[in-house]
Amino acid sequence: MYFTEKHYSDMKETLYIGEHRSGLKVYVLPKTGFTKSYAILATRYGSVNNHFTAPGDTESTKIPDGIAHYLEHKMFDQEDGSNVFDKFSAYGANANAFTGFTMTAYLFSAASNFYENLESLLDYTMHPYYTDETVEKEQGIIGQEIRMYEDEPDWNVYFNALRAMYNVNPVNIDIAGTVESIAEITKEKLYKCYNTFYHPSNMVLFTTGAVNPTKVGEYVERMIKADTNPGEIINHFPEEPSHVAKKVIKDYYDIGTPQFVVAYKDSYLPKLGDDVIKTDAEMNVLLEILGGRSSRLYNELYDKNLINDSFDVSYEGELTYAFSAFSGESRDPDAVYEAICAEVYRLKKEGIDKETFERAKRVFYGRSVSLFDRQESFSNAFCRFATKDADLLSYPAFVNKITLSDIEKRLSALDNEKCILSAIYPKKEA
Amino acid sequence: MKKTEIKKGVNLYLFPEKKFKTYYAGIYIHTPLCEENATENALLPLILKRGSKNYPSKAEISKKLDMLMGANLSSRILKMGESQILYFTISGVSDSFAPFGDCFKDALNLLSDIAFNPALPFNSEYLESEKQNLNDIIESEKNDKRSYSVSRCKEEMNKGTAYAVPENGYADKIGSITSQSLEARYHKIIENAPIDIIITGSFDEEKAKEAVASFVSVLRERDASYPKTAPSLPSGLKTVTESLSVSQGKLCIGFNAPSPSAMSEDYPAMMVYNSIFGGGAHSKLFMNVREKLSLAYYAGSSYERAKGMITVSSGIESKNFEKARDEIFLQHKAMTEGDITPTELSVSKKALINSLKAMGDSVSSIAAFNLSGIVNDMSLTQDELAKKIDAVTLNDVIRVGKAVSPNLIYFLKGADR
Repeated sequence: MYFTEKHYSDMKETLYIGEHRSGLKVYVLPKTGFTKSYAILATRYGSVNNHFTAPGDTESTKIPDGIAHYLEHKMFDQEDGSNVFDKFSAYGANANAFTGFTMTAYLFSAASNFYENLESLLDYTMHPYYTDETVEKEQGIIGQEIRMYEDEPDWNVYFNALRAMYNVNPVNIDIAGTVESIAEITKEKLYKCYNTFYHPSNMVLFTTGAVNPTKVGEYVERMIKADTNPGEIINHFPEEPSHVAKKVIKDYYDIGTPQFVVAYKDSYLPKLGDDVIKTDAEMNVLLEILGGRSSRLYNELYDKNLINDSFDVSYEGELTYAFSAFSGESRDPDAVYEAICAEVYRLKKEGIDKETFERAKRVFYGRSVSLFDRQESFSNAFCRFATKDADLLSYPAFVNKITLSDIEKRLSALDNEKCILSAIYPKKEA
Repeated sequence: MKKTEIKKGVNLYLFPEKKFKTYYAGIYIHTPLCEENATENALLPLILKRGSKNYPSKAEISKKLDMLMGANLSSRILKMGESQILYFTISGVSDSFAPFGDCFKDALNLLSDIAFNPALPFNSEYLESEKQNLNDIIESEKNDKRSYSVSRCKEEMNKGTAYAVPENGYADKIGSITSQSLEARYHKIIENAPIDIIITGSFDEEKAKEAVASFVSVLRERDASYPKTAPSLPSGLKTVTESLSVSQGKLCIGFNAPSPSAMSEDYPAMMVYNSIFGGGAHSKLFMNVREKLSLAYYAGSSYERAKGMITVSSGIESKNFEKARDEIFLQHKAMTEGDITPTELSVSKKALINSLKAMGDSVSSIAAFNLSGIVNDMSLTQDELAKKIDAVTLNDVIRVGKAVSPNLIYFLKGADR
């Protein structure tokens, strides 16, 4: 396999980029002096891909909620009855997998035997083995995973925010599905999804640490048998109206302090490629100005005892949905909601001063550099961007290029009509 | 460990590594965990972070952090065994990646200002607001049912001892704290408690030494005795059940376990014991409670050396309480009887060694490992400990494991939501 080298002089890094004949994109980021190596194989497939037309099919397929996540669990079973974890364990590696709304990823980290582990990773992800019995067995385990999430206030307040924003986009459906929907999953449906979304052409492989591109290339050549690209998968998404589904969702849990997510549904969706990074960087700088630790909003709310240190801002930009969120704990989520809307209104009217802008830019530049030292977070983020044809290593450089007018444009797109509140409160004693 | 005693009771540990793009610096102040002082101790880091002499408000601290390229400042409490550690950390981009000048030294100076140069007396408005925040932190402990159930299990198992004192103290003791009482508490700690400063990541060693020497100069010498943790005591097996409105029940089982010195060979043997029993996807608990019986999504155990305690934790359907409990005991019995395969032994050792070696690639993990070394009186490096783990035999595991016995079953029962 042939690799091209890309140098990033600002970050003192070199990334090796290759493409296998199957269409698999391979990225290698060697790190001198590091003991641990990390590999992650990601597919552009998550819980939102619940209606699609596979390459070569004339009819579209609809699948039960939670199947992408179920499939991830079932990848670990092997035809000979063994479990993949055993193979990784034998080499001391730590293996895992996760399913998101738009991506599923399989990964491991290892302080030794990297290539043996890489072989295992490329082996089991390319060899599905589902039987009625093994599919059945997982119902109990995933049922408990769903129950666990039902009890997690952080997840529920976030998820309710998605349900408030989105009318029909499947991001409003829980990633793991429900106990009822996963009961409809069969091995045939799993194979259909696997064959559609787990073709190497729909995937990216990222490796970093004590790794060598030539050797990674050799293992990819040996393990990936597919040699043609089957063509495009057509995902069908319902037309999401621009208005929000509900302005407010409130819920009650057995918790101490109430929690909230205030979120702006974005009409602008990033486009494949550099635009994904550019949008992400600009939105993050804007959010730093609006709700960062030195912002007027944060300090006013903190001084009024309306928020605490858990307050956070974040942007999520996918090809089919995008939003900005303010989250945290508050004794009065309604007041926080009003304050955020008022601050957006004020800032739009009064404008952003140059000094505030430069400071926010500097903060976010620092954060994007710091990410390089957190191997797991960096690798996972790398895949989130690479599956959208964007390059995380160029992030700091993009931050540097941001101008005040870029940010003002983003600010003007924040619409208080599309701002929702999700709040959960302590359950009242019966 | 690269330890320098700057003055009696105040130590500096430096772990410079050019491979990183960030630095991480922490000040750790060790106090004994006790019912009387826990709440005031927990409030101190919160009020200190509200403003110092040179940075008198939260907004000014934040602006300074912005200038340090978005450095992160943390100021909280950490419970380790029967120590209640006040800690202050700052992390950010190394000078070699900072186009805006000398961030590292400024960051150390800011950190020391927060810890050692408070604006006194404490501002009464800030105090009231941070009392409220501490109350919210304590109230929110039950939000995460998984960690809540583990803490409750440990607390019930060690009832009446210092270990049962919660990390953040008691909500009902917050009201009586005054600016004067808190200031007295601050002086008492800052003048007497052992202090460690740990710096990791990419930074200039000379700059670090200079900055630390200057801020430590205001501190007095002190008697450097670290708080000690008493091992938990065996008793008859008890069951404690609690009900909350949750979908999933949480089952935790506390075991008494040996509490060898961290330098003895029995310590790595106990680490291996716990790894085989419930230390990951390779363990008996994961393989049986989850994979074989499909009773749980998570099932595992952790070992706390100083306390001589293993805590098993799992999330189950409430109706499966007996089934899960019996299976956990069955796996414990297999451990006691030495029913351990050579593969189980070798993969468990490898898992431990892998995670020890991986620590060297993270600035915060290097600090955490060395802090735990200080608290536990263990002067081994990750590599030295890894070697000891590698040398553990099946007989070692069986020998130390004989003394592991169940003490308390804690069940957080799900009621209908």
